[in-house]
Amino acid sequence: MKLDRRTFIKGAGAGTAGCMLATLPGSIAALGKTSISGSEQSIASICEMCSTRCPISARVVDGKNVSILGNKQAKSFGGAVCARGGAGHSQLYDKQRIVKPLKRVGERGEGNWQEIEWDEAYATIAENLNRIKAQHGAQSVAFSSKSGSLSGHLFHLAKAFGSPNTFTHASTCPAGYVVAAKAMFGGKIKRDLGNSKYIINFGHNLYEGINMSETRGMMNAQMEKGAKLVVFEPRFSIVADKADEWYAIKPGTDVAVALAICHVLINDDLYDREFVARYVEGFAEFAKEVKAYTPEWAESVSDVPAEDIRRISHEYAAAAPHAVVDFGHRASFTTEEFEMRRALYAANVLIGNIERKGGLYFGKKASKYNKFAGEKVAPTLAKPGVDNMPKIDAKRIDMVDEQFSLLWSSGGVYQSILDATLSAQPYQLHAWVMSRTNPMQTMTDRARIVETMKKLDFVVACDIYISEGAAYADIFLPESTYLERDEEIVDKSGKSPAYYVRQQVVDVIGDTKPSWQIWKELADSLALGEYFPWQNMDTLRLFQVDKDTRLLADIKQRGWLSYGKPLMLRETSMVKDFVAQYPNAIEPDADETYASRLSFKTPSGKIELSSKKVEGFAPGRGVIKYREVALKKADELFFIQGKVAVHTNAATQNVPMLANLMSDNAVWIDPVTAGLFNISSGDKIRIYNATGSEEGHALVTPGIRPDTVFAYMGCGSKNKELARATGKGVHCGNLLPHVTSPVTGMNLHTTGVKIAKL
Amino acid sequence: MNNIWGSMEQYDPVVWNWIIAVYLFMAGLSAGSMLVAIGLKWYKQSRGLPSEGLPVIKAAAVLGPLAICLGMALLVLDLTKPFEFYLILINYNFTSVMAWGVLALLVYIPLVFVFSALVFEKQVLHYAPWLAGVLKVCRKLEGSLNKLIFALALGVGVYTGFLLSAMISYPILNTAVLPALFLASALSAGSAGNILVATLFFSKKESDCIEQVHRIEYPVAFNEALCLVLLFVGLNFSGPAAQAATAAITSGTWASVFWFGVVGLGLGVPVLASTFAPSAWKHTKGFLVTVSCSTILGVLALRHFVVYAGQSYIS
Amino acid sequence: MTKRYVLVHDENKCIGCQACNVACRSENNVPESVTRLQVRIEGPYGNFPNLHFKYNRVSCEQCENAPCVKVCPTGAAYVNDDGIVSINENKCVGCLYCVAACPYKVRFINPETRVPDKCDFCKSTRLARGEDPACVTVCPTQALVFGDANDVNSEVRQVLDTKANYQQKVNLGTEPRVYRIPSRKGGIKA
Repeated sequence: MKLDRRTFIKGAGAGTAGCMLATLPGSIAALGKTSISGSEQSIASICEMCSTRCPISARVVDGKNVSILGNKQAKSFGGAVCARGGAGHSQLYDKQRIVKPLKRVGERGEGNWQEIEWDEAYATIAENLNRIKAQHGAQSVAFSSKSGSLSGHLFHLAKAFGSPNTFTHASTCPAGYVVAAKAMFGGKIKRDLGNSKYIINFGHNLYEGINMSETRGMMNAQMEKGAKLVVFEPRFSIVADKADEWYAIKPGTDVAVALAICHVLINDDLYDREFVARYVEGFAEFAKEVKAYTPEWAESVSDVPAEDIRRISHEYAAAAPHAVVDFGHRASFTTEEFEMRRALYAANVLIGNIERKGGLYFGKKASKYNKFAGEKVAPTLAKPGVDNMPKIDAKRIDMVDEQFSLLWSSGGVYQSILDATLSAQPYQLHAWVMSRTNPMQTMTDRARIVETMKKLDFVVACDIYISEGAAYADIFLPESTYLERDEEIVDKSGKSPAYYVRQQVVDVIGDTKPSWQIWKELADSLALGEYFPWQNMDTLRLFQVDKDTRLLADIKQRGWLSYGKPLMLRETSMVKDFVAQYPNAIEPDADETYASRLSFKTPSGKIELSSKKVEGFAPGRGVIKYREVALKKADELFFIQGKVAVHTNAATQNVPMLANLMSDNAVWIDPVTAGLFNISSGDKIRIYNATGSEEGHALVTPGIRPDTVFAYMGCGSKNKELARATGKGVHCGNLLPHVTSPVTGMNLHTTGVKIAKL
Repeated sequence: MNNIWGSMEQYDPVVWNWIIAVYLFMAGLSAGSMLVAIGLKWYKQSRGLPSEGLPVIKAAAVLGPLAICLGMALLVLDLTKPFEFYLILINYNFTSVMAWGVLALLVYIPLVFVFSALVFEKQVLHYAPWLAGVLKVCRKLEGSLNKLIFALALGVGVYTGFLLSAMISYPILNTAVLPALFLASALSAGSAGNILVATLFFSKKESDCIEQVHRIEYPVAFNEALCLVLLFVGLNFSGPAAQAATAAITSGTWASVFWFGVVGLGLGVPVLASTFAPSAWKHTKGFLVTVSCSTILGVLALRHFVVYAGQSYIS
Repeated sequence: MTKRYVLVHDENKCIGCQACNVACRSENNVPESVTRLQVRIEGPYGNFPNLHFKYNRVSCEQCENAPCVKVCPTGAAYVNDDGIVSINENKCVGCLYCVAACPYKVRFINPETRVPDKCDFCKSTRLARGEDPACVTVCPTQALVFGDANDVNSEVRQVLDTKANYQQKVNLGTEPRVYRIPSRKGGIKA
């Protein structure tokens, strides 16, 4: 018999409170009643519910609630905010949030905690880190952090401490496209989806992994400007639904289709010869290599019909240069990520869409933009630096292999912490200081991470919740959430310069601190205070704006400052407008563009479609090439994951409002496959492989390939502290093998699994 | 697609639960017992027979007020704001069936007590002699009062049906047959209830007027059955959503309640019993109690079936 | 009636991201166990590979001819001058008749106030300040258009007059003021 509606309503309030956490030391619940106080006037700031960091505008409403909207000053964000962003106050005032420093009592990972004061926390950390440094060298301590201001301050501490081992989550998520862009273009490149007339998308799910300005841009292009969207993805995602054409490509074979598109572009003479001749290095080698990659061949590899690849390539070329092959975001589909992302870039290079509307372009930061304008259109920001930083002789743990060199300055090979700890490769790690990172979910092979954390001598975690990773810490440092923090001004330049800033909206809750303050104070305890000469965030910001208080006031007031007109160097109309606007602007070329000014920070100064440099550190990979990879065993199903619109991959599962929307990730199984195992929707299933075994529920749907199963990432936490998430759904990190891809250093999120009905 | 939009429990179409079903039953029982008692009174009077002290009428005088009071108590307790129920007595929206029902009950309930007081005049005056004057006036108006109670009881019986049938999106409920069905079943419950109470508490002889009451059982059962047939045949011809709702009697828990409870206990047992039972049994206490209990349970089952199955199918 | 507030939900632009769901909860302090608004992503329907989802916004339809208002015995449920179906908490006894009678099942009992609750286009908060409802404001893909359909210059009027749209359960004669622009794929099930 069903619960009647009134029993349900009565029960719901009491049931979700969770009795065990009322006593979790250090949580808001344990501290007692917390009132909401802060600015009743809207304050412009930056969201941090995911790593996209959208501009927001927030205020406290009647002392009861925090209203979070998008900052309308940022036009391309349109004042919008997603579900995660809108739920920011739910995280802020979550009773389960930790707001007091904790120390472990009992075994590591056992979940017994005791509240301590900051002084004791700092003293304990300093004592342990200094001891380890004395015994094993500073390099035996690894530091990892969510990127942004947070990692800036923690990594500064690492350098002051003397360790080169700093890591972001890059190699578990976006590093693939960054590394490939460095190799080909000499640096990161952006996409102009909003002006594109033809968009080819390889599983970049912008309608679930929302990146506000890009998501809006693509939808606007699709719905208001009639852009065509073609999606290659094994799963019928939201972006696949919104596409004009969806192809359920075989997992990990995107590179084959991308290369076949390049083949057609070259073979059918659809590519921009003039562009290639002027800007591209290594075309001949590439053309020679892709000769073999016919659509028919690609069909045999990827299950995408050859005739469609051919037709799509022709349509794409016809829309050139206002067309784009999206190079994606999370890059962990295959170990051949480097080739895949380069092949996607190559398809762009061939139609010459670089610095054209609807194509790819480089960010126009103030210094570059001002140079073109011949005047100071936008202010430049100074970078706070500290003289006389200690010289670090030790090599990074991911430096043994030269092929990862492009990643060293962009986050490093995060998962190399595991090998360094467990097998002393290349040398033994003894401690790990982590901030706002949850490797248990995203780094793959959860069991090995647990083993690693148990083996270390000392673990420090700084976070908002006791995440799965933080559950194994010796000392837990409670960070203020973004709504309680001030941070530095951030460069957000696109086609023209822009800045924005994170500002405190509500008073700090409990005994938490912003991370810049935590690491500065820890530096004092470590006797490294001299490397943190600034007093507070105001000092840092004033330094950034070179004491221009009016500029600082302006940016604090509006939260988002953008300057000038959008500029793409090879787009005539934009250059015309630009020159009309700025009388001292650099003289355009004869064709009324800045085409001659387009240069690349590669060894050749050109786009390196094939690269000698890459060939040097990764022999055989100078030219983009297809290699077959076995991502699963013959009797297994592919297991792939993705992001859902209401959660991040590892950090939001315990946020009350978001947990209420979704806390379980039923596994997508095709009806035919499900039939073989006699599985129906809602059935309890086991999903397992050599790495791990998970129990979850089935979602039988035609929206997935018969040889593939899918789950949204981030569910199934295994530590009791995350009470709303623990034990709910399938823990993807526990099923993914510990593998590092060549060159990009990426881990791997496509693997093989077996399923069984329970 | 996974559910990423949150709990859907609040969207359960079954809003009204067993409390409402029991309330509807109680109101029907009260109305039915009054209709039967007053009808019997008029029957006796038309034949010049005495109607004072008849066990069945005594039974109605107990059942009528008791059932409606119990029903009202349940209804009030079921409100989300039971302590503010007086608001419904001072605010009226006459597009609402419920507002009309409130008005009818507001008059009906006191009158049922008057009816009861007149039946048990001796006992009442024994405990409350100060009521003598009032009862005297009432006795004078008894004929008119009975007509009024009869009319209001008809209203209450029909009202419980209209209350549900006014909800346009439930095919099983949103039909004109429902009020008729509820009236017919109210009469079943009322006559069975009267027989039960009379047999248990007021009958000195075994056949005290019970045969007259029995006489209306057949037509009432026939009417009830007819209404049920009309309801489901009607549904079958009222478009796909309504047609889908006919599954209420073919699958699920409520189909069992329908066939075993409504049809079996409510219609089958009484009709078969009075047709096939040896006449020697027919006026025994055990037989009467069994058969009337069966009918009452059948009507209770019908109210539950209509409330739950009715809300489960939404167009 | 001088105003006729209506809402248009474009199922092509909607990505089912629940930004509206969360914004509504935050703006209106909706208790955790209940909701005024959700967008259900139903399906996929169709045949592989030609599949499609349906993005079904579930919230008060603000019926022109509202069954909840009709059945309310005390007049606690009423239609305001601006066409917004509203609730007078001081007249409500909590009989649940309106909750049961709503064909769209979008009324619920607020566990804190003990009276029925539902979407009111943020009329006492954002609308009163001259702003759009929270859901409309935050929608990442501009899938929602809100405004006064009696205003000849309004965007909603323009959209309703120029784009194919439908309402849910029109056969019941409720005349909803929430309009939907159907997905370009598959049929319309209203």
